[in-house]
Amino acid sequence: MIITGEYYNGLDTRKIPASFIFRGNGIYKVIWAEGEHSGALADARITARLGNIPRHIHFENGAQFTTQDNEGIDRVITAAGFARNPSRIHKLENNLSIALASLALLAVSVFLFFQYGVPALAERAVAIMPHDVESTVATQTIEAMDKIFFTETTLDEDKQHDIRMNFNNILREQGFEQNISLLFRNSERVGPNAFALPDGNIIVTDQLVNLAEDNEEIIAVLGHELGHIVNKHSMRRIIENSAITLVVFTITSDTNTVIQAASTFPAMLINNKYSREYEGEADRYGLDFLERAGISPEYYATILHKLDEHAGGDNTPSFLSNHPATAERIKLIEGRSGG
Amino acid sequence: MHNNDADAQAWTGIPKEGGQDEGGQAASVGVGQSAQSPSLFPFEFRGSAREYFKIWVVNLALTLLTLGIYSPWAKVRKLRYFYGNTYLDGSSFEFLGKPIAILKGRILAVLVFALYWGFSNFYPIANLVLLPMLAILFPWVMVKSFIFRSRNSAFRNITFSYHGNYWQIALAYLSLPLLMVGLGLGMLYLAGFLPNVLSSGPEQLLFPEAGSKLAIVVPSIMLSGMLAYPYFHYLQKRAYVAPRKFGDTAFAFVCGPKAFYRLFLKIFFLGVLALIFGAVSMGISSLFFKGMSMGAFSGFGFVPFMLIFGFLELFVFVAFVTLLRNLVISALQIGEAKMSSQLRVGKVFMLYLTNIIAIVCSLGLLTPWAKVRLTRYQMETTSLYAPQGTQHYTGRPGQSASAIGEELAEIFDMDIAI
Repeated sequence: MIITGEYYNGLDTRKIPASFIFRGNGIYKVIWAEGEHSGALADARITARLGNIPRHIHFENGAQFTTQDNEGIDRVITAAGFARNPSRIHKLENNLSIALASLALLAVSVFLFFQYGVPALAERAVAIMPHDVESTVATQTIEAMDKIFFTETTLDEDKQHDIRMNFNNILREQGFEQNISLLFRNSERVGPNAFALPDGNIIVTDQLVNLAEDNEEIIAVLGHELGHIVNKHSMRRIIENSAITLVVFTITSDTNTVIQAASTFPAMLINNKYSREYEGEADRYGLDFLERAGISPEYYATILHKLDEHAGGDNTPSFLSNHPATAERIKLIEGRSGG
Repeated sequence: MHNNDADAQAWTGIPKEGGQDEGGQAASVGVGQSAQSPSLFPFEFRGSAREYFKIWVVNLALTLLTLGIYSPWAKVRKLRYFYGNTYLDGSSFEFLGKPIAILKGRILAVLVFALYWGFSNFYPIANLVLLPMLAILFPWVMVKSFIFRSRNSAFRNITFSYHGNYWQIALAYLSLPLLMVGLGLGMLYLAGFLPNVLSSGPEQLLFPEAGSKLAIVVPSIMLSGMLAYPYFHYLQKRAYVAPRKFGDTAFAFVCGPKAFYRLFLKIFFLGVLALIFGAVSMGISSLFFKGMSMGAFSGFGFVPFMLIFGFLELFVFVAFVTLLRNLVISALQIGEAKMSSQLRVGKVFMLYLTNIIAIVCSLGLLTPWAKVRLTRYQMETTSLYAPQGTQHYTGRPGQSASAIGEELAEIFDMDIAI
């Protein structure tokens, strides 16, 4: 077998046309215009085949032979009968059906990972998470929100007391053990809303209290927020976000930071999918909560409707949004009250 | 004139390219001639997106199937693919790194990172010790990773090497932040405010009483930092590039801080222009989109603004990295040979924009294509002016290097490149 290529002596960059000769007796010989070199093929290192990049044979004396003739080198390897074929990975990479199978494997794994793996992982992690972490996150969140959004509540003491009593009584009746406290805050910018913090506190805006006509409507919203707390959604969300970032950065690790940052957009869609699932879970919990308290689910429907009107109609399509469309949620409620 | 050349010819009888030799020798063997002028050698990238896609996806699948253990092998194959398809004067580069070395480095790096992550998350107070430790470690990590990369890069069986030291990197990267922190503390002290901050924490600075003093302190530190930054960026690039060798031939970084100041000034004006343009177009479009209240931000209203600003931000970023690459590469000399990079900002911007759209729309599947076309353009526009040709560089066999620096740099995202 004769392969043409170049000889590089390892001492300078002269490109010396040369021939590599292998006769199958384990001994190779490289010949160029002014000299030759020979040795045992077992002592030389042949680089693994990869795409169409040139092949190098590194000799024990530091010199090397380089050729574009990948097929020729593969024939030498076969003839030499090496136990480990340095082209085995290339065989996989060069095979279109294996590439397609890999693609399918990746797609299925990513799908399964996001569909089942991440939520399961998050649930496990949340279960073993020390309570300290939750309260640290909660304290930091409320501190940040107080700085950015909120001012002190403008509700009078009686109204606050009234809502607290009402809510606490229901919690006590249902034998709820976790300590849940209500924090009232004022913010025109945030508008009517409520937020569940991982340590069991619920922030309620004055605007929500004013928008609601009855305490029952507020209780309905609190039931929903309680669903977030009981199912530990905010901590799960932190873990899920990390998992999504990990996968996105693994896939795009070949590119630079800007492209990676842009690629988090599709990841946002996955994130929103989890969010909508959380909202659904919280809705169902909230409705059960109302049922146990003997409050009609209608109240939840009416407050959702009011919130929707206040937001001026939510036109964001479901997949771009982190809340399910109000129509979908009201349908859920009607399904409940009908059944 | 050059002893090396004379020796070389006596030994092989192959005349040097470029035909400077008196009386061309009869025993001349056809040596790969460059297509253009005999002393200007363009770089060339011969990889194809189709081929690289298969390599990428198969290696990703193997990494997945082996639960990540294969990842160093995948990394080596990707690097070999890009090095091996980069040609200069008819010869390709070669990446020599061993997957096992990378695996060892990666395991260590993951351990260090896990420790760091655990401590900084569960004992935030540990950050007081960990962050300075990371800063102290940073130059060492950088030097190690530069050594690993350069020793494992070869051209015509001659390897590169990096000879920079800890202090060069520390001066370039750490001195400015340290200086600014020191300056800030000093000014706070002079303003009689330091005791408060030290006793009750940095939140003190958020109270209104601090406002008037901070209104002077913060902008003046920021301004001096901004004015000094181009110089330090110059030091960073110099520390990265200059202490290198190709075989026995030293690199030189032929560029002063002035060029960096010019570059940053350009980018600064471009940034200001982009802001004005963005604000104007936002004003115009808000006439069409009803209301700029919070309501608009909860729905689709904010999307056009995000797009406009994202677009402008991308343009300024691309202009910066492109002009910087041109500046740094064109300032590079290897012996008597000069490098040159002639990227065009508009072209690179279009490449980035289409790459981002392609990657996002294909859910990442077009990443290999994006990488190949960007590399191809970068190589097409890079060239080496080597009046004595490419055959006379000498070297000696190199030693192997540890990959721990490279892997730590990767996991902590200490990314430095031209």
